[in-house]
Amino acid sequence: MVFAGVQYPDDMATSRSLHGLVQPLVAELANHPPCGDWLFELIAGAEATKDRLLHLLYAEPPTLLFTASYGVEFEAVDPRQLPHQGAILCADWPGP
Amino acid sequence: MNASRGEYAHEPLAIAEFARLILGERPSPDQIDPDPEQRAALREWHLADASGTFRAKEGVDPTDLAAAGWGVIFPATIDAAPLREALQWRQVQAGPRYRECFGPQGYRPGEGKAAFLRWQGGASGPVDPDRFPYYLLLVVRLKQFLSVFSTSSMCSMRSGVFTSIRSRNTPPMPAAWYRPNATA
Repeated sequence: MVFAGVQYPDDMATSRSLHGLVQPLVAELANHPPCGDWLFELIAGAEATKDRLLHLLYAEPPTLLFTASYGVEFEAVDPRQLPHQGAILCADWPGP
Repeated sequence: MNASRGEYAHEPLAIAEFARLILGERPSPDQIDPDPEQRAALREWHLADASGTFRAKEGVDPTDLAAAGWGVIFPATIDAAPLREALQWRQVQAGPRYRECFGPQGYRPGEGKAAFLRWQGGASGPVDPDRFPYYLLLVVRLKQFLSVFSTSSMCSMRSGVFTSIRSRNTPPMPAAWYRPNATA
């Protein structure tokens, strides 16, 4: 199982989702006695790049991929809305 | 993240306001989001949710008068002729969904919303503009204004009130628009 948490510098929302959700969740699961042989991988902060996530989705898909990030939305008149609405905003996003 | 604008899609919500939402206190939309565009959308949904009837039926664009319809309601005792010229613009905009209720089709004193709509062909709930317009202008004599609204005769619709009617029986009165939440 892979858990990916994006975090941007000086951004409270992603800082909280990584440190308050993703990291504690992985720690809890990994240390939970009935976890058996499951392996848990944490991809945190700057490591959660688009290439890394694409690789996980298409090349080596885990049993479970958990991501915590911003989602992307577009205005109704934006031609990118149909193909990209709801996309995951990855760590290597250069910013607006 | 709003990628079209390159900024947060929603302004950060204060913890206190978030807590009020969780507790079901239904804070005003003005307190939830400082973004005017988001606030306007929230207000629309808040009003629709709170009133239960403050909307047009599914599929009708409320910003298009030709789709939503526009009507004017006169008391049965008021002559509609003095306003006829002023109403022509709305008639052009609303087209076949334009409606005038005057004379025998006008509002009768003491009549409630449900009864009025029933014999006009409309109904309570989300408005079907093919049966009765979504936007209504209510024309009243000023001295009747409060009594009309105290009976909640039309309050669940998008309505405006025009109170400057000259007639042979009443002196001229100042004009005033009453716009609860939308353009009449």
